[in-house]
Amino acid sequence: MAPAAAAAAPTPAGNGTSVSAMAVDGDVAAAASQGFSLDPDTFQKIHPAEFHRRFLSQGVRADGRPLQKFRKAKISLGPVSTANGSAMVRLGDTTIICGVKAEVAEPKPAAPRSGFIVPNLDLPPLCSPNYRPGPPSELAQTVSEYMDQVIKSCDLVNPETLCIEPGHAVWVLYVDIVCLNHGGNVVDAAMIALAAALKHTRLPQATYYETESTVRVTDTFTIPLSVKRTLVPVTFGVFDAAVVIADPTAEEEAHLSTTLTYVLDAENGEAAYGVLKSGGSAVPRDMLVACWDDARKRAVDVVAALAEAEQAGNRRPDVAAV
Amino acid sequence: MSARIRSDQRKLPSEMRPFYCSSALLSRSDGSVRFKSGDSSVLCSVFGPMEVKIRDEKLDKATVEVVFKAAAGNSTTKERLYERVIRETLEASILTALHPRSAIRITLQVLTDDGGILSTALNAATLALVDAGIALRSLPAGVTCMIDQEGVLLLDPTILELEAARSTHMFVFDNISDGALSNISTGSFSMDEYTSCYDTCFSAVAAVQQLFRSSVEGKVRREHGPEADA
Amino acid sequence: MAARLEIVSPEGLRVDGRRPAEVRRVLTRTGVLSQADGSAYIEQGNTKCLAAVYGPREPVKRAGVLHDRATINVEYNVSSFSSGERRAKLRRDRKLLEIGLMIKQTFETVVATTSFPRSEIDIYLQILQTDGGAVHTAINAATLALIDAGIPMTDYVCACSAGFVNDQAILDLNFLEESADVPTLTVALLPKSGKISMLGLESRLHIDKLEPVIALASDGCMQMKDTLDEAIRISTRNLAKTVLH
Repeated sequence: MAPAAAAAAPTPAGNGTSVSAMAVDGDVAAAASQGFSLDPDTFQKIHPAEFHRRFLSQGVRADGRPLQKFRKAKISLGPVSTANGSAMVRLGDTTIICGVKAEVAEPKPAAPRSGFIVPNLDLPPLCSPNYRPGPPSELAQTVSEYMDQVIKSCDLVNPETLCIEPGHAVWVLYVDIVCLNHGGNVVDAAMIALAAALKHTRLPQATYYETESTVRVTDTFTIPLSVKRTLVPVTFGVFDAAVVIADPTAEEEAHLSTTLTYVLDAENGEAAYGVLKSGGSAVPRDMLVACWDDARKRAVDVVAALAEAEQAGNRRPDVAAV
Repeated sequence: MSARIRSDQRKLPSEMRPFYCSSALLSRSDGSVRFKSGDSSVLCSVFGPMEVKIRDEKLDKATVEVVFKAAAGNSTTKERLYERVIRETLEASILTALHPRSAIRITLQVLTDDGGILSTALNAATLALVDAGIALRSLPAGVTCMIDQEGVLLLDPTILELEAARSTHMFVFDNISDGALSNISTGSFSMDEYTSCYDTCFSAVAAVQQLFRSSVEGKVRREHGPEADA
Repeated sequence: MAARLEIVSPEGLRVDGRRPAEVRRVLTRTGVLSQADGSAYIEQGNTKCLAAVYGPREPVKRAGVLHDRATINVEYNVSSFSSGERRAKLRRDRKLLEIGLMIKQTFETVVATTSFPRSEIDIYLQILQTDGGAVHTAINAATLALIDAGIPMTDYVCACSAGFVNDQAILDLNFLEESADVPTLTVALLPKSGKISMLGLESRLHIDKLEPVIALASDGCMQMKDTLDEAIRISTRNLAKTVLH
């Protein structure tokens, strides 16, 4: 194993990556005389944080992206035909599928006309070697909760449009988001999937029969759900409390000192619906503002990807494709 | 802004509710504090450093556990989000490397909730860690503010005021770094509104830090006698 | 009764236009997930299943360690939006646990577990959409994912279902047929030896009819074998290309 490796500056990305290391220990004289090369994969395993630090110091990242470059969001609408609305989102390796199921339920007596939207993020052990079977992880629970707070507080869907019969029947939209492959930045992928799936949702026609006090649902007529806004989440990671990187990968996430998520409005990047920064290193005011500016540029790209997905909506999307 | 009377008789939008703390209330825990901000009050107890569950053991640092209990009812995902924010905020301030392979458990019990409960809980936790004698790098303090439907920024809102909020913001700052440690914002707001919330909370935190300071001074005087002042 | 008559029309066609002994269109992909050691995706008609295999790796729980071979864990999961009716996610859904156990036992006989003592192999199966035959689709996906992960096996495990209606056996039932009271038999077969490694029947079927239904299901399994084999050959060829060049 290489002792205290002094590696040369890495060259960015791809197969050309090489991190050479010199053995400094006296015992390995032979190795020292020739100099030996520690292959990048091994170096990454032994010193993961240092591996990323070397890349970032050169203004580039391990996957070849510049610091502020986001991965392209690939969105396809309607991959699950059993759901009322669905979307699949890919951010690099991160793959998330989201299905919206509408169910009839009784409203709360305090708000007889208000339906509900229940978002839930699932990070099954399928998506990453770091997750094991068991109760939902803290990340899954807290991201679900934060999405719920954002949806409610920004009035994404007027709950009264989910009313079937005041006081008797309303729609509950279960938004189930399943992560299939955890390649980092699940928060962004999940929220893009949620926004896309809700926009794609069509509610069946429901009629309330007072005499039997039942609701009959007919799938022959469907009405699109009226979604007031489009939320665009944008996440940044901060490395060593100073270097801001956009859209971190799973490998980078493990070594970040903090992350920063903005939820912006798709039409107007000046307006936001949420900011989440949980602990870690401090982020100064100017960095918060600068990141917001970068987030606005990203929002434009995501909106374009959403529009593209809507245009391609007629073509039958396929989970394995993209 | 004309002098408007707020729901709890405060006169200014930028006025905080009176807050105070009382420490060393519980005899069995290593540190305990009750932090009260207006009618929001949280009791915090800290145990540690103590034995850690093997599952959570970290070889190079202490494991910080946070348990947040609401005033009533079972804990939901809302409490889990609070736990995560408080834990991730405090983990950065606690010198965890001093206590490898051990646990520091912070339990927060809401006594009464009248808005800004997360920042109140965080302040209680910081002081309870001080009371438990756990080495900290800095003292994180939280403040909540909101913007109402007319665009008026209200500092430290009550539950009644929060019902009419267009956006709410919780910021955590500490006494050594020049940036936000944590921030949760929800609702609908512009960049200008966000930065003015940041600035308002940043200056409001100074008052909380002042309380922290006098509380720590009081503790030192109690434990080491008046001569420790020097 | 009316519903049952329509399962196979007088012209000998089924509700989705298939002949009685015809399987649905199958689409396979391997290596779809970057995080997993092996993964596969199968679409059989409108049933969609994703499989991920992790391992052989160090077991997290000491209790799971076997000293002479690897343990296999199978988690079978059905997405809540996958079927017509939303199913609330229960943490320990007994039906899903049972299916998981059945699949685990099926694979324990074929995977060369003795090559990896004190380690574990995790097979995670996620049903994204169901239209009948979710279990056999999941087994086929697991086979592909295991091969994609490079885990040695003595044989493929190929699965298919068959039912019996209107005095004739039908192959690879869809959701409509499954829910129309047709007795459904799921068979998993080891194609090289022709041995049956799993047989599942949860409704009443006359013993005289069992023989033809098993025979048809086995025939379906052999068809699946060709499909799986082709998928593996394609992915191996691609792998060989990347290694050689």
